[in-house]
Amino acid sequence: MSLFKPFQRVSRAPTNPRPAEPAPRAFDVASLYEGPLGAGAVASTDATPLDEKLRQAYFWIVNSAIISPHYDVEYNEGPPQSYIVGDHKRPLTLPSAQSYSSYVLLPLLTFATRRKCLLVGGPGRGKTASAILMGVLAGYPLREVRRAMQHGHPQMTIADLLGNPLPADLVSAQSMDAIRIAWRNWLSMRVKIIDEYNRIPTRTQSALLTVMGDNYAEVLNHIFECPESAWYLTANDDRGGGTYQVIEALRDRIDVVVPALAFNPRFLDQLLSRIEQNLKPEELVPQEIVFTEAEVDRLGSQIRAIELPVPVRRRLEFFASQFELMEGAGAQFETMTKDVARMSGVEWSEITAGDDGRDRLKDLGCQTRNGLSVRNLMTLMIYAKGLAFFRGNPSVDLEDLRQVLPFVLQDKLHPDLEAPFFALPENGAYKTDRLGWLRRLFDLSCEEYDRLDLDRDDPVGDLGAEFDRGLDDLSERDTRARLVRIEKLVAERVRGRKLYGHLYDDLLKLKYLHQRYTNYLHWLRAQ
Amino acid sequence: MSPNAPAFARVLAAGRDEFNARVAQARLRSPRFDTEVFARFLRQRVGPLVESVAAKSPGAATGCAVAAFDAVLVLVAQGLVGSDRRYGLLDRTWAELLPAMPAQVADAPGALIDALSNAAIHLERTPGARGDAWVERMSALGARTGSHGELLALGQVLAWTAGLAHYREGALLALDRLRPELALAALNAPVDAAWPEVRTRVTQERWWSPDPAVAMRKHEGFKVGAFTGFGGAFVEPPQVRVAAEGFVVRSGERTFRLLVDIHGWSLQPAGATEFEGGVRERTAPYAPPVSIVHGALRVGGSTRAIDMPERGLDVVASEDSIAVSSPFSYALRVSPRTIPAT
Repeated sequence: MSLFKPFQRVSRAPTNPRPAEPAPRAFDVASLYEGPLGAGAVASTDATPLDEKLRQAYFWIVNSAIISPHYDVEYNEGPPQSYIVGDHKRPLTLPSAQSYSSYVLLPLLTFATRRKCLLVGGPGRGKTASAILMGVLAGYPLREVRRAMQHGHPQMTIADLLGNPLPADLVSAQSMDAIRIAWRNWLSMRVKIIDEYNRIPTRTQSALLTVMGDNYAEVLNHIFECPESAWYLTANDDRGGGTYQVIEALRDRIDVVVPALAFNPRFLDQLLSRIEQNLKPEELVPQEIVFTEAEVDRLGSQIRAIELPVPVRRRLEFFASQFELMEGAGAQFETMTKDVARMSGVEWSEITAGDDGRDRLKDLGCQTRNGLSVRNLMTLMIYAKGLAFFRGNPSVDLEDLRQVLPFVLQDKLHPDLEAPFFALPENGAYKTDRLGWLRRLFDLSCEEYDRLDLDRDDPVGDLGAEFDRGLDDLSERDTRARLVRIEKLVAERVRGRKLYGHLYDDLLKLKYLHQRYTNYLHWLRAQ
Repeated sequence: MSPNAPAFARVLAAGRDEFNARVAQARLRSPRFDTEVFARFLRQRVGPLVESVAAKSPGAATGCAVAAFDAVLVLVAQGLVGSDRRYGLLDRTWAELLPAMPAQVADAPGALIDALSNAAIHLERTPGARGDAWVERMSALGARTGSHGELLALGQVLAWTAGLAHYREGALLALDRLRPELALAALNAPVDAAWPEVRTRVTQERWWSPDPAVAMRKHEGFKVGAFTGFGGAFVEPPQVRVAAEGFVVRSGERTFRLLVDIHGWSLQPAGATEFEGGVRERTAPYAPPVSIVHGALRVGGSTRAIDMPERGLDVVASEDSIAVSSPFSYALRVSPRTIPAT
């Protein structure tokens, strides 16, 4: 008897249709047999594009597997309908374009980009089920996915996690090299699931860190090289409130944090139906949305090929510039950073108390206790590319970046809840809603970017672009002219201005350019 | 159901729990799923089909029943069967066509049931298509096919001859997948006709058919399209140009490609820029000149009447077809440029 077809039906392509000029086409008589039933006996055998397949996987999961009727990743084409609701006057927006549920979308993008995703939320919210689905999407039998899943518990040892030396070898081996290791199967899988990772003892977390960070496992000087994998970790509490404190380096290796959203009891009938029919979505994943290893490889390369246009990149640069500066932390220009302050061990309140020169409400940098790392920025760009790819676009929109940013940074950019911004009544909710705060932070950064008109008037960017064209055949006279322009620009920028994060980074960039031209000038003279 | 459809009843009884679960799931996923319609369709259409297959090939009854059950779940969930007569052709496909070819259905029940149902829906939705003729010709000829692959090729040819002009090229290739006697029958050619000659002429002459009844259309041509208010595609009287293949038509902000031959016409969506790229005439050796003279169509030395007011008449011509438009009509008049010899 055939499988349960209605439950296994995949959304028909195109899942994100665009108004496009119909391309000239040769009419295919085979399309006579295409329609609502089946795939058509002689239908085209052309492979589904991978972005389409990814969307079909998304829609199958949201329609048939995970009941997550939330559309918190909102896109609009034209003004959306919006309503102000409640005493706190929060907006309810009805998006005018295809929007998505973060709880399904982000794990799927993690699968496509082979990154690391932490699913957080209370017990029974489908975190583990989501992770298992991703394993099945990678083509593993359900039983294998379940067996390979690592369950964190307080007695978990490194041997439990990575593997054991063979007992016979331990007794008879004359050297470490002679001891064979029985590696755990999960290490070789392309989807790795660590359930309740915050219940793993600290020492075992360190071994996990090596696997997550460097992609290999080590036991008794023996090395197991792991394949590129998508990682799914689950935790009931993302603030480290498990049995053990999660070591910071491990938390830092996690690329996105996705909170489970509350179940809407209006959808109880679907739960009831599952009980009555004994349905288990993970057992019914349609074959059409299962990806081969080669397809996931191609997904990765196609996502990396998505363009990140300069105007979008500039806004990300401007946003990232806001946070690292802390004037009171350093005596030298380069050391005026929050990282220096953090490593000094001096109390945060003591350092911020001396930071009275700027408008602390206006300065976005005052809202955080740290800046962004290189890893954070790389993750942000790859997920933005992944989202653009998922939507079928050749390049990243600003909205793609805006939508993934909170999920990438929510455990990376830490708010300073004592900052004046959070004291304003209208910003009270941002103390608890970190995703909302990060999105607001990015919007404020973009507003400031627009106010400064940096899309059209960016002399530092122009100088950088000029330098990027190369120094070949640049004469001594032109080099000197460029040095003068840099010095003039520095003088203009520092004249009577307060120092803000983006200005700080502009000045460091100008110093860098100045130094490169200075070195080049020395070299020219030596010829 | 059991007195009239014992084989189907046995299959249902054997898989009762799973069949019931499928219906429950379909109801959950589609609020408009009508169990009454579903049960009636099973009784009236699926039962007889399974019985006809069981009579021919008892071992294929289960496969046929399961495939039909799954297909009907989808059809009912999408409102494609029921009291609504919009999909009468689909109903005829299940009532007449599928039971008429039990051997072919037994060969590949899922593929065939899905494909022929989809084709019926396609024909039903295509303006100007003669779906009833397709069902009748398929019912008459389908049992003569040797495999379900040949049956599907026959379906493609007959869909073209039923008016799906945009499938002309593919259908000509599908003709080659039929045995010659079946290909001649599909074109309703005289039984003593020579297939190679028929094959050549039908390819080269767009307005020729070996079927005398169809060949009459070369004198009449077609009235193409209608006002959207009456179910047509045109929001304003259309303008027409000649494209690389067929014609390109603009009505308001919409643009279409018009493909036409002796069997019918088909309007397909086209890009807005295609109209600007069109020309008023493409000519070929021996193609007669075309013009409007005193409200009539002058083609070479002959004159054809036009049932539209004289003022504003416009004519364009491709190598083998002529299209006349009027600012006072929502329908184009399309006819052959050269009347083929019999």
